[in-house]
Amino acid sequence: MSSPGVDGDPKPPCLPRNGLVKLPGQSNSLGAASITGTPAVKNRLCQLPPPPLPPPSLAAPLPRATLAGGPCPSVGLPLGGPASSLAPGPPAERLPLAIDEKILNGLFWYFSACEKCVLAQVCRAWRRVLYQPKFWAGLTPVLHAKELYNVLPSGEKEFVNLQGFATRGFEGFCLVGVSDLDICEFIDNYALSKKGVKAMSLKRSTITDAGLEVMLEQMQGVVRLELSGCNDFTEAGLWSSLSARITSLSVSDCINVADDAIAAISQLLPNLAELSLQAYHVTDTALAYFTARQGHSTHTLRLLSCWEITNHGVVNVVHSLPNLTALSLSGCSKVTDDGVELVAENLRKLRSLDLSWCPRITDMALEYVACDLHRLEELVLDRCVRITDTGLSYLSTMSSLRSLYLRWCCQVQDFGLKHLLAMRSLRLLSLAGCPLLTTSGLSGLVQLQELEELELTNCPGATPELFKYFSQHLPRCLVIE
Amino acid sequence: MPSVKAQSSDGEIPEADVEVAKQPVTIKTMVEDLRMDDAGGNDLVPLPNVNAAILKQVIPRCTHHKDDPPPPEDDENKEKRTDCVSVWDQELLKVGQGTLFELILAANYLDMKGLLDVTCKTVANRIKGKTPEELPKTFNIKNDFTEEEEARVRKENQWCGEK
Repeated sequence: MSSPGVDGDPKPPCLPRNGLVKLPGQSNSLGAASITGTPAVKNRLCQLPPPPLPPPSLAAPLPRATLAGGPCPSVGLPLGGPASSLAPGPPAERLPLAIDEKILNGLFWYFSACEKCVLAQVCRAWRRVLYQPKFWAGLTPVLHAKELYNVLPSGEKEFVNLQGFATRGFEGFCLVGVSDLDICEFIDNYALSKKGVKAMSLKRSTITDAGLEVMLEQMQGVVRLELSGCNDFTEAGLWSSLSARITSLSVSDCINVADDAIAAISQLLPNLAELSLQAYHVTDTALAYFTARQGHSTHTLRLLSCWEITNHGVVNVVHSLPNLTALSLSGCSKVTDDGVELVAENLRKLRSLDLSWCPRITDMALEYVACDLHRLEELVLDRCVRITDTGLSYLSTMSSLRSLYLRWCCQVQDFGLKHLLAMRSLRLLSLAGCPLLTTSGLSGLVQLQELEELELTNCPGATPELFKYFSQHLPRCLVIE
Repeated sequence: MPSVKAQSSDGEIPEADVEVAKQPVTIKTMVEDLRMDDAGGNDLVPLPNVNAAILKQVIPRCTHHKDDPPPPEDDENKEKRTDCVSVWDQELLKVGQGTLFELILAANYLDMKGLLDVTCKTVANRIKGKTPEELPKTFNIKNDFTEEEEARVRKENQWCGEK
């Protein structure tokens, strides 16, 4: 995926929000932390002046209250000599603390979803603390069809017990490779399926029109739906199953989806806040189908690799969905600077704009953006290969811009970087894959003291010395190699 | 510089500058409520939940970090990072599991967010990368699942593995 999307994009757990992962550097003996949320804010300065005094010696014995059980020191030796101060100590005293719920409730925040899944298997106390819904908020389990069944000795299949999911209060599930029957079994066997599940995502599944209808009818709580790589349902299925309660819909790589699908969406989903569509055959005309209701409620539209969409389609979008705050035209390769001009002039509320993989976009588009989109906070220009330093100079006037992605903008040079250095509002910058940037040019980025995340993967100018320099002079920033 | 004496659970009385001692918010509250700032240094701040050995480690850390800016209000219910522990703190925290846990409890009781953060990070980093088989041994806990429970908890957590 090249586009990071905007908040609310359903993504599987464990993957960082925008594909960025920090690889362990050799100097960091504590190991890597992976970023799974919004750009990280360091909550403590980690570079302190060198200590004037050495830390207190721990050779002094630690006095302990009388111990119940455990190994005793041999007769004649003083209790707790230096050697014992670092020993784990008698189990009887340590035991309560490692399962002390007060400690665990604070400690478990320092782990990712995957790590928590490992820790839940350690003992009952850890599982009990971990299985509270607060530790799983915002996460979506991804279950493959095979994992939904246990094979009994008799050879029969039995649906797994999903109580452990219900306890953790997951609001959404992603099912992969499932059939209509699997979905029915899930609905029958998961206690919270009828009302408690808010989001369903089906990937590479054989769900049919009938299956879709049953699912949405039965699972009354579902307001967010994702269908990806499902080729067995048709537009007729959308007409018969979409429900007005749906606020978020994502359809990608489903072979039968074209203009009539948009017709169904526009007629049946008055409360649609977010629409994500990846469809090769959707045309400009369909983008005029949106009704006044969507004009009011829809704030996020993502058109991904919709190869047939031209500037005419953009005209339709800006007129039918004037309240958009997030727009993606990623991979809509026919869109040109004129289309961007229309967006800039008409969608003044935009906070996020994604023009990645639009090869016809030039610096002119950036002039339009900088001129009119005063509220823009996020701009994605990955693979916009015609962008040059001139384009960056236009962006330098944008006082609200927090996140700027310039991955593989291969014409960007040190001179262009200089324009970015005055942008105090920038918190996230990606220059991955920009081959012309030199080490000394990149070093100028230390002027952006408020920067929280800097991605320099595949930058030949990003040398180990540069990373060391950043760790000293840009201490609050996560620098990604 | 006026000083404050804190009385630990086992009766000892380590002394500290009042400014340093006020870093733990619990102590700060006690000191200010009881107007000990301008006292003659004879009043004792009782700390029944912290023993002397732990207190002796907490106080040097307060001294070392006394000029740090207060940690920002962080969102209580969000995943936290485990990097960024200063070299000085790393040295201080090269201790056994038991002491680390006691430091966590002390930091919690004394309401010292900075110390709580680095001690939790240190324990978390010792946990990361270990398997469910290794962890009970490292922390001297008993794996008290039945065989059936163990199979079930493993199955309902494999969704997060590498796919």
